[in-house]
This record gives sequence, structure tokens and C-alpha cells, in this order.
Amino acid sequence: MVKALSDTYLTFKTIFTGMGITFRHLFTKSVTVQYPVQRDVLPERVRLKLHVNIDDCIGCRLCERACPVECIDIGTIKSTDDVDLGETSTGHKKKLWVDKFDIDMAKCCYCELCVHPCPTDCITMVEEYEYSVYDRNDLIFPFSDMTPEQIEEANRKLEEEAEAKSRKKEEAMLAKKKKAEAQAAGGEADGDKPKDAASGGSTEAGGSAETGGEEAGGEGAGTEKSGTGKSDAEASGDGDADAEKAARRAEREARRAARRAEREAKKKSE
Amino acid sequence: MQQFLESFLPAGPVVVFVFSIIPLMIILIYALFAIWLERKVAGHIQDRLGPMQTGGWHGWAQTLADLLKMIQKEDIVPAKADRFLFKMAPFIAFAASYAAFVAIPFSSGYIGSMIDIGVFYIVAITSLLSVSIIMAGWASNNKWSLLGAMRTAAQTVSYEVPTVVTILSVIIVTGTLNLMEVTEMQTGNAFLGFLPSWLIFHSPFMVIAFVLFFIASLAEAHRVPFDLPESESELVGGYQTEYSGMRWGLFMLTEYADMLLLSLVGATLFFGGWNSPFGSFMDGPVWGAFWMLFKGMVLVFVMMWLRWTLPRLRVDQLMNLCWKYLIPLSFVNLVLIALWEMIF
Amino acid sequence: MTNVKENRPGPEVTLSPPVDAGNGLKTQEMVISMGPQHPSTHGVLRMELTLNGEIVTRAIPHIGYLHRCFEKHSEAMNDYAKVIPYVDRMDYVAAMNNELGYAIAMERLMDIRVNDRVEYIRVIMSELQRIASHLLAVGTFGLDIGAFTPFLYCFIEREKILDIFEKASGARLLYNYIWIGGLMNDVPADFKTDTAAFVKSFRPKIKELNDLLSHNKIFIDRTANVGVLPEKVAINYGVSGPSLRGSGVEWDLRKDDPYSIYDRFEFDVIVGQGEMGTVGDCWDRYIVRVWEMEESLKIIEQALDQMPDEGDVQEAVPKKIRPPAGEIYCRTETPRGELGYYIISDKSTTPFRVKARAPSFVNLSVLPAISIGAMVADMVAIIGSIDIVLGEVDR
Repeated sequence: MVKALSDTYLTFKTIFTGMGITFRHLFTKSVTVQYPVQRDVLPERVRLKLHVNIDDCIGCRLCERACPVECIDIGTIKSTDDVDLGETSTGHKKKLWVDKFDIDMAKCCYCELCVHPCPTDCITMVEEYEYSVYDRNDLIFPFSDMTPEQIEEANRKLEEEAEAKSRKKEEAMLAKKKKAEAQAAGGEADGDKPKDAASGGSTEAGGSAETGGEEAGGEGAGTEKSGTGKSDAEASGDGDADAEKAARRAEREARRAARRAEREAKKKSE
Repeated sequence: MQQFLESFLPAGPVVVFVFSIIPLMIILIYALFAIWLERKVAGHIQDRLGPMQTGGWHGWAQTLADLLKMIQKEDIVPAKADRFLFKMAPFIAFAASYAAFVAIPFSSGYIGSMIDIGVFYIVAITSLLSVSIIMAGWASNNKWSLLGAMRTAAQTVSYEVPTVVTILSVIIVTGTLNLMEVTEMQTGNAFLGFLPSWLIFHSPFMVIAFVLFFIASLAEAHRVPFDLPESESELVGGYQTEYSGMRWGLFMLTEYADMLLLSLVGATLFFGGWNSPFGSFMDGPVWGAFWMLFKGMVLVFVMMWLRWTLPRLRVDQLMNLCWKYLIPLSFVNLVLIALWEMIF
Repeated sequence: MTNVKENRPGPEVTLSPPVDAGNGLKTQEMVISMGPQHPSTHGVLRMELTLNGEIVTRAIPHIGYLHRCFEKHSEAMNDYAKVIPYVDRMDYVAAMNNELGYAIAMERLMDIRVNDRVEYIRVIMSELQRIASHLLAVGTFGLDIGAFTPFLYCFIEREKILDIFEKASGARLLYNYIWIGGLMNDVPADFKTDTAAFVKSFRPKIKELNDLLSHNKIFIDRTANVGVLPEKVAINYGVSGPSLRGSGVEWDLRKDDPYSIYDRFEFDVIVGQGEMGTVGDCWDRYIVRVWEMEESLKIIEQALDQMPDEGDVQEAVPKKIRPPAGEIYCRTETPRGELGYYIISDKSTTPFRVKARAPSFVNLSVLPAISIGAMVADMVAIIGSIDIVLGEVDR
């Protein structure tokens, strides 16, 4: 009986306490933000949408590598010697055409891992959050400003240049061979000369293939990162890859040929 | 009222139709308002705003918009459901609570029917509600609905006892079951010269009777903390689980109509019905209707306030509360009121 | 035709034979599927309940509706740092704590020391996250019991914490803020004042919550003596976190196996005392969470006082994460319990294995043991009180 009474008392007491609290809240100011009309001031670091300032992009693919969900898709074309792509606002030299820079915001997990490695700070999170669409494909945002014609031209030029270079190299090689043969024939044991020539040729051929990567990482981060950048450029998969491979192959062959010539020359001299 | 209508309306049947349609109008308009109010009360209690857009001023047209939406929705009947019972249940539910309004004196000039057994009739006809809920729960062929229906059966049957006993204790004082007469008895300022002669001020036990009645009516109307038949977080939606569109809307309407009905009965029995709290000031048939609805709405507001404050009881605790507390208390109270009535 | 029932995973449910009720009617137990779309199973848990009327005679949790291959994903990442966003998504209401556990595990594996500023920010962040997570747990628990309003009051407070997180990291839910060897960003300039203001404004709210919900008689009736988890059962099932402490076991990794800099702070380990009923009932588990928020506030206050103003938060972030070959198991105390990471490195940049011991998963396993004899409404309370996050159960 006593318990029943105390329970009843407790029930009413706690119910009235609760009702007092809710009644107080009935007249406190509400916390609602009436969204389309009122908007919260968003903090500076807010992560809402990825944006790429394509003018500053050097096509280093660090962001693509950093993405855990593979929502960034980048394609680059090596620029030819006759084109100057200029510099980014951070002073990096641009060596690659970026013919494709698609970000699929439907896949994006907003982790911001891509933003941090960027050497030129061209990929950023921006304060834009009303971009719902009806078709999921509309969430793929292309950032490259190259037209198909420009891409085609860049590819063509690259091919032409690669062709021209390999032709040049062959000629150089032929010349070297001839020279070496001539030297060997001449009986002079001057091994340094052909070596010089060969390495000179190799830098010419392979240099431009690597510089893109070097530019990408070299200035932006420490040694480790530069290594990544370099390997990136070397391992890049798309349009310019074949050209690069071809260039490297040509370089390797040239070096091998030079060494062979050297060995033969030595043998002969002995 | 009837004479007033007959004075300008042509034929008898039309008069009867108009006469009987008035409570429906009141229920519908009230439901529109009450659902909006519930949202606003919930919103402000929870430091929100509630609906703000629809219709402009504080989202007043939100319920209308919802109504339109519900009418447009597909009428889904589960494949394995008992189609006839499933479709009938909401209508019976609403009919039950609508029919009860007939005995409510809305003002000194309007009561649906001057029946002498008014309160008894209301108690009887609202029991139909539990039948319809059991119908809905059973016909849905859903285990959750069935559980909800079973709970309702137990709850309604149990809580009718304290409701009836508290009403009975009021009847001891009034000596009549006719609600119009009950209200007329409460006219004037009898107590202490300034308090209106409402029954709640009649004796201290009347306050207890009112509290018991209010608790029991919360359970009858299935409101928190006794909303077990629906109990959204346990039974998904109880007997409403399989309902959608306008059929669900009818259940919703019934719930609100029930709230109003029980509040109006409470107001009539304890708070002087259509009597003005200021004696003859602001009195008359039109003011009477205002006061009646106002008192009803205050009680409805308290129900809403409770809903947004309290958690829900468990089914066995609900039964405990009813059989171990409310029913003994109400019987004791009945005896005490009878004694008081004998002595004074 | 294959029998669907035969292919269903889990133990076969056998019902008791029908009982003759005496009037020609027969009664039998009923199997009811609670979830995965049930509003109170905190996500996509499915409970297969065998009911005798409203009494539960058997409860079998079925999981896997939210499985996202966390471990396999981790093995596919070519960088240990890329696992962090996935770690966030395990226990999505306490992402900071998940990150902290992973970061600490990796730092131990690679033998990285982070500076004091980083440590203090991490502790403050994870304690704020603990409060946010407990607020959600407490609020939704109230919602399960039928009290809607405390839930929203809790969310208002949680929102303030999320604002602090948003200012620091830019995200509100999945932060990727704690990195291996440091933090993503330094905290903004007004971080200290913001946090101190929150701590100050939050204390009265705990009292309000207690008045409105914890000490409400109806709430106590619903939760006390319900779902009692005895100490021994809890330990045998490997329950951890507030659910274990609710059973009266004083076990908190922050005290018993201190990681980060938790040994520098004064705080109490809250245990359930059975104030309203039995030790280890739903109310105890609930109130442990409420008072743990208070303890977290204490830790935050101390950390704010001691936090150094100088220090580069990315000082120790390795340029290339290439841990030495080896393995590590590292456990931390998240709001839900003991979160352990078992990481195997094969000296490459790709994790060989990242296994997570998720507290929710282990805590969930105790559910069948404590829900026998409960009613359907109690079932909801029990699920709410062990506070599972299905993202973490299924990973």
C-alpha cells in the first residue's frame, strides 16, 4: 500500500517534472534553420563538392592515386616540344595536356584524400551542395577544357614527334655505328667518344618522357613523393603511355647499341 | 436550432440532413486544425517549428495538402487480406466515433439528439471502435497488426471500466444521464460566490474523478502513454500497418475525433460544457459553442502535451495500472462522492 | 524446386506443438520477423522472434544486411591511409573513435610518435565523439520506449558537436580527420572556445535529460529489471563497453589498458549499480551512458587546459606508409566497447589484412541470451540498450 502510494506520487511527480520541461521548451526559441530561405554559414573547410581548377593541373595523377573509391579519372597527353603549356599559378611547369579529368561525385566519399597530395592545389572542395540530378551519369563532372579536336591534334602531334624522334635516333645511331666502325677501323682505342654520343642521344630521347613526372612531384613534396610522381608518370595508362613506351624503348635500344659498339670497338682494339 | 433551420429550409429530410451533418463538419474542421496543432505543438516542444511552408502562414494548409495526397494514393489491400473486413474496418471506426457526437451538447442551442441516456449511449457506441480495430488487425493478415489488435481488445475492455465508473460518480451528483441537463445544472456561480458551478469544483473527490477519467480517456483514445495498439516503435504501426492512403486517413481522423469526443465529454461532465466561465458574461448559444469547443481543445492540447513528454507503457503495466490502480480507486471514489452527496 | 526454407541460414526454428485451449481452439507459438525494416532495430537487424502471445520464447538475430566487405576493401587499397574512409563507415555514429583506433594501431606498427598537440586534439575529438554517440544511443533508446521528445533534445546537442567537427575537419559524420601519424588539419583558431562553450552549455542538458527521461517513472518501469545481463554472462559473451559496465564490471580500456594519453586524465569508470532494479538491466546500461557523457566532459575540460598551443599536427605523418613486415593487434575503447584492429603488413604499401573486432557485433551476440521471457516491447528496449550500430555489426 505504501509502495503503491509512493509509486503513484513518484509517477505524478516525474510526469509533471517532464511536462514542466516540455512546457518550457514550448516557448524557447526553435533551432530550425528554414533551409531554402535561411542558410547556415558553412565553415571554411567544409567538404561538399570537388572542384578542379584545370588551368593549374599538371596531370600528375596524385589525386587519382589517392582516391579510395576510384572516382577520379584522368587522361593526359604528353605535349610536344613546339607547344608551351605555360606555368601554373604556383609556378609549376606544365608538360602534359590533360585531355580528361572526370570526377564522379556519385562515387565520391568526400574523404578529401585527393586534395592533400596535389602539388599545385588545383583540386579543392568547394562550398556547393545543391547538385542533385535525376540521372546518376549527370554526377560525373568533366573538368578538362580540351575539345575533341584539340585532343586529336595533341595526339597527332605527339605521334609525329615520336616518329620524328625515333627517326632521328635511328639516324644518330646509324651515324654512331658508322663512326664507331670507322674508329674501329682506324685502330684508335678511343672508347670515350662513342659513349658520350650515345648517352647524349639517350637524354634527348627519354628526357621529355620523364620530366613530366619529375615536375609533378619534385617540387611539391619530399623525396618519397617525388618517387611516386615519377613512377606515376611512367606507369600512366592512357593515350600518352604508348608514346612514352616507344620513346623509352628507343632510348634503351640506343643505349644497348652504343654499348655493343663500344664492346666491339674494345675487342677489336685488343 | 432545429426550428431555426426549419424556418428557411424547405423540407423535413433536408433539415434533418443539415442538422446531422453539423457534427461531421465540426469533426472535419477540427481534425484539420488538430492535426496541424499537434504538429505545431510537437514542433515547438521539440524546439522545432513544425510545418511552415504549406499555405503561407505557419503552414496552416499542411493537413489539407496531406489530405489531398492521401486521397490520391493507391488503395492497397494486401493479397492475403480479408478484403471485405479490411475495407470495412476504417468506416466502422469512424462511424463509431461520429455516431457518439450525437449526444454531445455543443451549445445550449444545439445537440444532435436529446436522448435521456446520453452518456450511456456514448460509452456504448464508442465500444464499436475496438471492434473495428480488431477487424482491421485481423483482416490485415499481418502478425504485427494482430498483436496490435489483441492489445486494443484488452486495453479498451479494461479501460472502459474506470471510465464508466468515474462517469457514474458524476451521474450520482447530477442525477441524469442526459448531457444537456448535466450542462444546464452547471450554470451560474454557486461555489464561493465567484467559482463557476462546474462539477469539478463540487467536491475534492470530483478532482480525483476527473484525473481518473482523463487517464482512462487517454487510454480509450489510444494516446501516449497508452498508445500501445499503434506503438510505432514496437509494432511498426499496430493495426494500421497495412493501411495506406485514405483508409489510413480515416483511422487517423477517428483517432482525433475520439480525442475530441472524450475531451468534450470531460468538458461537459466536469467543466460546465457550454457554460461561460464568467457567469452570464459571454454567454449565449454562439458563445456556448465557442466555450464548449475551447474547453475541449484545451483538454486535447493537454493530451498532445502529454504525448510529447511521456514514454509508452508496456502492455502488462497498462493492465496493472488499470486493474490495480484505476479501477479500485474509481470505486472508492464513487463511494466517497456518494457519501459527500449524502452529507451535503 | 528447392525449398527456400532449407536454404535459409541459421538454426531451424521448431515450434512447440499446438496446445488445446479447451474450447475447440488451439493455440500455438508464432514466429514473427522483426526487421530488417522494423523502426526499432537500429538499422537493418532482423530478429526472428518466436512468440507465445507477447512473450518471447526465442530470439535469433540475423545479420548481414549491411555487409560492405570492409576487410576485403582494405586489402584492395594500395595505401594504408586509404583505409581510413572505410574505417569511418564501420561505426558511422562514432567515426572519430574508429579512426583513432586504426591510427594508433598503425602508429604502433610503424613505431611513430606523435606530438602532444596531436594527442590532445585526438583525445578531445574522440571524447566529443563519445558524447555525440552516447547522445544518439540515449535518444534513440528513449524513442524505442516511446518518448519522442528527448530524442530531439539529444540531437540538438549532438548537432553542436557535429558543428565543432565540421569546423575542424569539414565533414559532419565521416571525418577522415585522424590520420596515421597526425591529423588532417590543425584545429581552427576558435576550437578551444567553441569546445569550452559546448562543455559549459551541455552540463545542464544532462540534468534536463535525467529529469525528462531517466527518472521518469514510466521509463523506469519500462527499463528496470528488463533484459538483465548478469556479470558472468556478459564476460562469457565478450560484451564490452557501456553494456559490460552496466552489468557492474569495471572495465574501461581507457583506464585498464591506456592508449594515447588517457593515463593523464582524471575520470571515473561508471558502472551500473542496479539503482532502479537489478544490476545489468536496461536502465543500468542506459544510465551508464548518461553518466559517461559527464566523465567525457571532465576529460575534455582537462585536455583543453593541458593542450599545448604549438605543434605541427602533420609532423609525424609519413610521406609513404610502408610499415615493416609484421602484425599488430591494438584495441581502443569506442562508445560501443572494445574496438580492436588486427593488421598484418607484408612490407608493401598495401595492407595484407585488416581485421576489425567490432564491439557491436560481439555485444549483439548476447541478445538471444537475455531476451528469453521478455515481451515484444522489452525486446525493443533490450536492442536499444545494447546500442548496436549495424554498420559495425556487418562491416
